[in-house]
Amino acid sequence: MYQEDSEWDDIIPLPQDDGELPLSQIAYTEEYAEAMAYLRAIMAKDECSERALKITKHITEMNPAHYTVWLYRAKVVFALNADIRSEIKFLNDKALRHEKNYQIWHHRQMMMDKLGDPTGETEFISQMFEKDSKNYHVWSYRQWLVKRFDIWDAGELEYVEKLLEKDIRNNSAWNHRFFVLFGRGNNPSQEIIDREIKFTEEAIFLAPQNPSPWNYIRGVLSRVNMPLSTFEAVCKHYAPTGNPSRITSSHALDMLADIQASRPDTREEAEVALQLLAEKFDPIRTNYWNHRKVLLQKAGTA
Amino acid sequence: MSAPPRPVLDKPRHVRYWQRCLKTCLPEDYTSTDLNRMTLGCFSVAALDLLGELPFLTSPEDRHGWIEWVYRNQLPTGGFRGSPAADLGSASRWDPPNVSATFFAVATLVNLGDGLERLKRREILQLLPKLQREDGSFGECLLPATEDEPETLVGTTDMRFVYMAVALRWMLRGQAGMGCPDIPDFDVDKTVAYIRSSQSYDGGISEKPFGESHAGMTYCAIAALSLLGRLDASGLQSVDSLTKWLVHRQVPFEEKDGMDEDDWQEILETGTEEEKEAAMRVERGADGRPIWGGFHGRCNKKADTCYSFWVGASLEILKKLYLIDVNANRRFLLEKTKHVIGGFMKLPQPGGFPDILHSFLGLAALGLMREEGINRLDAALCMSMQAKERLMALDWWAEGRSQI
Ligand SMILES: [Zn+2]
Repeated sequence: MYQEDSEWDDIIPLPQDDGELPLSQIAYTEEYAEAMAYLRAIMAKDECSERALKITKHITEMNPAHYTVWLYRAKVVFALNADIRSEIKFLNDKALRHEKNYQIWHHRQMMMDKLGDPTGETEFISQMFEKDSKNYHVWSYRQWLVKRFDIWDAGELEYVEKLLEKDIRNNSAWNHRFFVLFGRGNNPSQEIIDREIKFTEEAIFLAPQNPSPWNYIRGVLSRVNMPLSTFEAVCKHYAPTGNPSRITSSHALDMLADIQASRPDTREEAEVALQLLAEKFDPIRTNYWNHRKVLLQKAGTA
Repeated sequence: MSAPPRPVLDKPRHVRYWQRCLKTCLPEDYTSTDLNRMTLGCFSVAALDLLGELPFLTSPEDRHGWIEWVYRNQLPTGGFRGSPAADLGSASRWDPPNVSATFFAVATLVNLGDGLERLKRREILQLLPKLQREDGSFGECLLPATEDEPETLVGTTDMRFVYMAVALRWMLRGQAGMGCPDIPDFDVDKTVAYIRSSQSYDGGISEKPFGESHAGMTYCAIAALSLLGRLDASGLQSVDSLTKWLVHRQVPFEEKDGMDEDDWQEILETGTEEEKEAAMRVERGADGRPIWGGFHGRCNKKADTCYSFWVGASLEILKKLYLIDVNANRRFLLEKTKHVIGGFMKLPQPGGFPDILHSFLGLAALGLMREEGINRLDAALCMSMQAKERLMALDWWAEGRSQI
């Protein structure tokens, strides 16, 4: 189609030269092979033009993971002083259709950085999260956005809560919560820490076997130098070792073992907890729990 | 239930899969990996090497031809492009050296038995410090300067590029970083500090500080630290929590994991309690352990073939691979994600197809766990021990040894 298009008359396409014995050759469609040949020709000239925008759009539709085509496009957008808002609109559509791609997000970051105004971004991200609320690239972009535009307090925590309401096991949302709390460098007040403890307890109540809140609270306590034993009563509630039939969380057992192992007079109880994990509550990790038991015994005799 | 009979690796089928990848065109679906053909090529060659068949099922002419192809993608200024698709005929800002492509090119050459005589080794070593950022991480490409634009480092912040840069340094500088003392090294301490700051609150490692722990990123970080000789407190905040995070990536296989996504959704929405329970059932052996158990890459995600490698290799580097349930993983790969035409699928779902990445990493994971019929591999370099030994027999490695 480029060959017949008068707009491209002056361009001599640059076909791909794979040599005699290529590795991992791909059966390209004719459309892709032709477009790539024209793209190479204008990239070689470092041409900044409207048609460069057109052809890069075409290529990224067929191959959104083409790393240099995005960089080239960014240069053309800036050089032509093209409307960045419409570039973002173009990226919205692209991102929704190519969820696994990270180049799109890198490009978006460059555009947004230049634009300097994040209006509409969190709304679009929500749209992405409706398709996959654990999309790694999108979360990464959101962290960048929050830092770049200093929008830590513009609804981040509320948004995390909304996502967790939908899926309490969304570990990406838990991670973002940690980022919002500690990513600014200084530790939050005791009042906020108490609120987090309560929030975590409520999440555990909904799904005791969900690892995310257990990991989260360990992280929070360690960050503010509070002992794990702060959470001992909660652990015992979900892991009454005296009555194994009522144990509902392997993570409670694990944390309990850590708490008990830290005190010489409860070390034997820690062994019991590890034993329960190895034999009954987490048998896929029998080797690991036994290893922990051995470490504990060694520490006890040292 | 009593466990079904022990599965075996259907080696001839895997061999045929890789022969097809090497000898015929890949289907159009691979178009989105067009710029990463060096990676696909590396995996295809390395897979036959792991299966011990490279010298027998490919001819010296094949191997020579592929070596030529790799060198065609070397840039005159050093480093490699990811594919001839990026070749613009003459030097250009838009045909830059790419750190992943450079790593996979060198690995492919070593796998194919090339002596690296034509490799622009000094130029690559000179490139590495230019790829490093202020925070110790690495970019993906270095765009050459033009009349009106300066040399520009580009790419996301990503632990993968850290790994590639460190592995290139290890391979090309030689023992303990001693080769080419006249070429300035990148700032190793900064890179180590970057990795350390990327260990998350749950013990796993992310692409950057405060990101979510991810097994692929964790592998890149651990392998990099090991190649730098810094698997200590300078590189990790806590080895114990890392180990714990890694072993917790193994998850029991539930019936629903082997179902079509839509079927499971339908049960969730309209099924009875019994149907839901049956879908979430875990089949266990007489010892109470799950019969099948693969690995996922992040907390509360689904098991996926490649994570058997990313997690397994990380634990192997830490000398803690024995902590996982090797049998459950082996069965997951050999009974749930292997494909009838050879290779491995990403997920244990019906209607899936094998792909190059998952087929290679599935084999590599089994190799780590001493599967019969697969050569031993070096977990940090992700190549066979034989290939690693060939690399270490090269001049600059021998010179490095005599200097110590
Ligand atoms: Zn995968």
